[in-house]
Amino acid sequence: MATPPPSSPRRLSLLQADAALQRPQVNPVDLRSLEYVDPYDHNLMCAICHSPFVCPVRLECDHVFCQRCVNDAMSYQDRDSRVYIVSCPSCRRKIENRAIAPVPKILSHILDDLRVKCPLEFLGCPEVTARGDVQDHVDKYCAYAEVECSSESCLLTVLRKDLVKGGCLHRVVNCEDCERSFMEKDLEIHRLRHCEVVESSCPDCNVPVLLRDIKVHIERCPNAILLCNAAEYGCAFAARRETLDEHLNTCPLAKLVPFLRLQNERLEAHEAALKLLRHKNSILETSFSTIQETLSPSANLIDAPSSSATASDTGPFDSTAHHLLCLHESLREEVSRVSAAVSEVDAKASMMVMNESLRIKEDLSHANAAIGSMRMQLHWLMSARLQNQQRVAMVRAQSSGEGLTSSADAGSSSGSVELPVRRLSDSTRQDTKL
Amino acid sequence: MFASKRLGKELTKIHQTLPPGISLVSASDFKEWQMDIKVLDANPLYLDQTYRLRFRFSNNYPIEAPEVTFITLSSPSRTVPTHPHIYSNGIICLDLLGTQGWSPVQNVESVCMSIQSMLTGNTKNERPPGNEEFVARNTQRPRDIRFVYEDATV
Ligand SMILES: [Zn+2]
Ligand SMILES: [Zn+2]
Ligand SMILES: [Zn+2]
Ligand SMILES: [Zn+2]
Ligand SMILES: [Zn+2]
Ligand SMILES: [Zn+2]
Ligand SMILES: [Zn+2]
Repeated sequence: MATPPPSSPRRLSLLQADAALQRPQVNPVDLRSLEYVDPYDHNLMCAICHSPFVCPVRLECDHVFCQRCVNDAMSYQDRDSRVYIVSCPSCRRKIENRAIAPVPKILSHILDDLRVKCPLEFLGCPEVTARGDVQDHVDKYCAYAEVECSSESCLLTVLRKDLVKGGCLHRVVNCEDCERSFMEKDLEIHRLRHCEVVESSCPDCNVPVLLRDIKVHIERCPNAILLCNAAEYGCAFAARRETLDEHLNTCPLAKLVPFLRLQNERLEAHEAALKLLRHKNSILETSFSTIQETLSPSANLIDAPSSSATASDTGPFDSTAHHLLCLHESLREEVSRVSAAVSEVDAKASMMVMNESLRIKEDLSHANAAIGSMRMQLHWLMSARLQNQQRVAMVRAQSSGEGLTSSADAGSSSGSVELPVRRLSDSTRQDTKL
Repeated sequence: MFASKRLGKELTKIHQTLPPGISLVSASDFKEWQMDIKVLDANPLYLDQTYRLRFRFSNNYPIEAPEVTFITLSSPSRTVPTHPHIYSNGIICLDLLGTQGWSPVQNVESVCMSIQSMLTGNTKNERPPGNEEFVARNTQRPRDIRFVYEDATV
C-alpha cells in the first residue's frame, strides 16, 4: 500500500524527515510487511499495523505508532473532518501539536535487532537477517533481487544470482523437452518446477518418472522409505513399504496412535478451556478484591478474636464463609441501630406535629370567638338600621302633605348620618382586639 | 497490500484464540469475513440465538472502518437481532463503525466484542425509530450513513 502523497503543509509537519525512506533506493523494503522469525514482545507491536514499530513516533499522549501508520490515520481523519482536529487512534485525545516527539534510541535499537526473513523469500532467498540490515541485504547482496541485465544494450532486469552466467539472459530459448519458449532467465525455474515433460527420477527407486507425475509416484512408490505411523510418538522404525506394513502389525506404539491422537486433542481442548478459565478467574479475583476493599471498613468492626479463633481450626473456605457470616452479623447490628434511630426520629416528628396542631386548634377557637362577636355586632347593627327605617317611615306619614322631593331629601340625609357611626364603632373594636 | 497483511495477522490470532461466544465462520479472502456471535448471559431477547456478522474490508483497512452488518440466512438459521440500534436490514448503528468513531487500533475481534456487549446490555425489544422507512429508502453504504448517536448508552 502506498502512503497517500502529502497534500497539505500541516501534514508535512508531522511527516518529519524519515532518513531511511529518503535515501535513494531502487527498491525500498516496506518494513511493515516483513515476516518476523522469532516471536516478539507484544509491547513492540504497533496497534495500527500489528507489526513491530517501523520508525516509531510518540504523540503528546505518549502513545507510540509507526510514523507511516499514524500519518495514514491522520490524513484519513483530515479528509473527513472539516475542523482540522485530529486525535490519537488509541485514546482519542486531541492532538494539538502535530510535531512528533522522538522515541528513545534504545527502542529503535531493539526494533532494528529483530530477526526477519528476506522479503524475497518467495523467490527462494533463504536469508534471515536483523531488520536494520534487511535493506542493505536486498540492495547489495540478495541473490534474488532484480538487477540490471549485464548486457549494455538490454534494459531488462535479471536476478542477481544469474549475473554470473554472463551475457544477456533475455534471449528467447525453447525448453528441450516440451518445446515451449521462454526467456533464458526463466528456463531454469521452468525445468525445475513446471515443465511437464522433463524426466526426473524417483529418489527412492531411481525409476525415471515424468516431473508432473513425481508426486503421485512418491506416494505409491513401493521402494520409498517410510516412517512408522507412530514416529511422532517415539518409534524410530523406518523401512520400505512392505516391511513397514509388517511392522505396523507388531508395533505397540502404532496401535496406540489413534488413542494418543485423541488424548492430544483432548489435552489441547483442556488447555484452551483452562486458559479461558484462568482468564475468567483473574477477572473474578480482581472484582473480588475490589469488593473486599469496599467492605473492609465494616469488616474492621467485626469482633476480631472470635473470627480468628474459628478461622484457625477450619479450612480456608470455611474461614471465608465465616468472614462473610461475621460481615452479615455486623450488617444486621447496623440495621437494628438504624431502625432504632428511625423510630426515635419518628417519635420526635409526631410530637412536633401534635404540638403544632394544638397551637393551631387554639388559634382556631380564638378565630371562632372573634367571628361570634362579629356576628353579634352585625345583628345589633341590622336591628339598629331597621329601627331607623321604621322611624323614617313614621316621619314620612306625618308630613304627607309636603312635596315628594323633600321626603326623599330627608331619607338620604338620615342614611348619611348613620354610616359614619357604624364605621367608627367598627374601627374601635378592631383596635381593642389588636 | 497493507490491509491483507494486517488481516493475515488478525486471522492467525483468531485461529489461536477467540473470546467466548464469538467464532469465525469463513475468511476465504481479505475482502469479506463472516463471524458468528452469541449473547452469553441469559438475556431473554437473544436466548439460544446465534447471529451472523458480515465484515467487508476495503484496501484501506484498518485506516478505514470495515463495513459490518448482520445477515439473514435460512440454513443455518440466522436472523437480524431486534435492538433499538439495529435496523431490520442488518445495518448497525454503532458509532465505532462510523467514519467518526472508528479508530485504526480497532480490529475484527474488538468490533465483535462491542456488538456482543451492545446486545447483552439491551432490554428493549424494538427496532430503531423509522425502521421501515429507512429500510425501504436507504441505498447508501452503512459507513457513509450519518447516524445521530443520540444516547450514550449504545
Ligand atoms: Zn504501524
Ligand atoms: Zn493516545
Ligand atoms: Zn534475500
Ligand atoms: Zn538482457
Ligand atoms: Zn519444458
Ligand atoms: Zn519410486
Ligand atoms: Zn513403529
